[in-house]
Amino acid sequence: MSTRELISSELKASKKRLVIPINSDITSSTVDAVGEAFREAVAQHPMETWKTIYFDLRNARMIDSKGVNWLFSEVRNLQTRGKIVVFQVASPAIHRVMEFSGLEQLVIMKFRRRRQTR
Amino acid sequence: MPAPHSTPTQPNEPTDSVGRAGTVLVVDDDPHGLTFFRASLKLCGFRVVATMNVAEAQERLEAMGMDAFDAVLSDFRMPEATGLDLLRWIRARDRSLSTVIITAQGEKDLVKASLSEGATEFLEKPITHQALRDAMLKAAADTARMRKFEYDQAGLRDAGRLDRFFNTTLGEELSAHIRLVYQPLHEVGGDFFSARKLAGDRFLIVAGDVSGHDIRSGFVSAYFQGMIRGFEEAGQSAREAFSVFNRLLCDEWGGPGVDAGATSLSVCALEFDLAQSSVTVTSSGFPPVVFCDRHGFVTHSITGAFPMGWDRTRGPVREIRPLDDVSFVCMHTDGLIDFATELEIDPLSLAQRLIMDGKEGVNSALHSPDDLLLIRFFINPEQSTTALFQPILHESYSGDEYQDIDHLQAVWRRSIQFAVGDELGDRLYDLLICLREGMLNAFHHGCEGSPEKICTLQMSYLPDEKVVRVRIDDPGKGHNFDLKKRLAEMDIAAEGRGRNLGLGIIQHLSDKFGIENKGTSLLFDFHVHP
Repeated sequence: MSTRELISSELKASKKRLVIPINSDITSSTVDAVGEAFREAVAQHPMETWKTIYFDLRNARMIDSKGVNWLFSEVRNLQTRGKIVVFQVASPAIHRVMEFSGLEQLVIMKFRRRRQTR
Repeated sequence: MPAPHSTPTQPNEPTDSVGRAGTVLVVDDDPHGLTFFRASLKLCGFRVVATMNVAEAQERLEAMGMDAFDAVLSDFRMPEATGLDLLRWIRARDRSLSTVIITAQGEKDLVKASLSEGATEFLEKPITHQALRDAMLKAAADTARMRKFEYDQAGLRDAGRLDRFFNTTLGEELSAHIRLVYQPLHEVGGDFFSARKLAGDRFLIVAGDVSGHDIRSGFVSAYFQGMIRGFEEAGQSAREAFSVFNRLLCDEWGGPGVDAGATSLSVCALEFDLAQSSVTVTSSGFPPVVFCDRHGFVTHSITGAFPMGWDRTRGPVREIRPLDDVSFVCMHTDGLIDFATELEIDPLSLAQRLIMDGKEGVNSALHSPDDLLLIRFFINPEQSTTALFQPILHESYSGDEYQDIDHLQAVWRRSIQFAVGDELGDRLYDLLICLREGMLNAFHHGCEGSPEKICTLQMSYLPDEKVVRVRIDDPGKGHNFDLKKRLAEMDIAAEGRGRNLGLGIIQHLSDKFGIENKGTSLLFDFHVHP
């Protein structure tokens, strides 16, 4: 998957909201590529133009411990810079992992269950 | 232009000599043509029966029988019915009787039509004696070849029916113990099995695969099965029978080693003694027998012997296994393994699906490219099979296979879905996350990423309660701390990157989690509907 297919970005300037759809599972196999693509996507938008960042994970079905660790690092990094972090999740499995790992306590979680068809 | 002819004779006048080349029915409304054909074919050694129209030809064929003729020669253009009409009529009754159609010069499209209808040959006028002779000799030879083939096929079908009747019918006592999937693709040869109830609480099950699917293979298979029975009734062991038959195949029935004319036989005999709670496994080149415990986890019998017919000095392997804590014993031929490889799933998940399809009376939509034979012998026939954990995956991996984790995960997913169907729903991803975490732990910590070290993944399924059970074993040294306590005290948010996060995820997502052997064995259950 190319970087652009992996991650894209959309800035909703009026709401000062940066939306980052992540079109991949976040596992030990993908976390390096996802991380790099994420940094590139964020770098396209000056920090002062957005306040809230949405991680749109609705196309991801799975996340493992490496993926959790990466998300944790990114969330801490963004919050240190005063940003508000929102996770959009559709996979019940990912939601359960985030519940257990405590990520759900660190971010604003928007979970709407969707039957996994992939 | 009419063909050269001699003095016309009565078309139905029998010839004087019985044709050594065969009997030909000739159909032509032109009396001059008929005379030429009769004379020319007599010279070739044929006996000729001549008719002048299709209706008459049909009467002669019915009166004398199709078998009385070796070929038919028919003009195409005749009043009322054509040569193609006659051809269709003949093929509806006897596809082996060759028919040659005579066409006028320039009737190429008609020729094509006649070939597509199944004509053996065509002849375009004017016809020479040489051309007629060659065409009719070939037609008679084709008829003889086709008839022999059909005769052989009928013989093979009879042999196959007899084999299935005598050897694959299970009596009541056997039926209680055995679940069977038997899909032979040919009439004879290939996979076979027989099962017998012996004195006391003893059973003998023999399964095998003979090379080839011809009469020779069928003969070898039947002879071997008869011999096994004879040895058993004389109180001799299966191992003795195997050794004798191997020498027979190598020395008397085949050349040395394996060659095109030799027949080989992969076979396994299971001699159950339920009173002694043991089974004796005797095997020559057969896939390993699978022993399933009450958790649905498996071990395998030893292997190493050649198929019979390969090497007269190599006898079968034999071992005696206790049946304590064994729910059932399973044997299958290599057709199951090949089919599973083609589907890219574990053979155990394919076996489970086939057994369940058979149990539910479903005609499985699965069509193997080779013979399929799968036999499960349940130790306790009183127990419902769906109340037992059934194995659906058993794989061993070297420590460096973590690099292929995505491919392995895809195989696990396909195998699970194949065996369990859509029952798991969204819980499938909970299970896949746990499998991934558990196996990565085994690869990195237990095997230290080394290709020299091996870890094992097993999965089983309990149909009645819809529970998937997983066991992961690695060769690591384990640890001395209380992992469960550590997981309970883990604070991910405070520590940031929590140690044992992966195992913590497994514990959280599964419905039952356990550790054995100082943490080198993980066990967890997933309820489909928690």
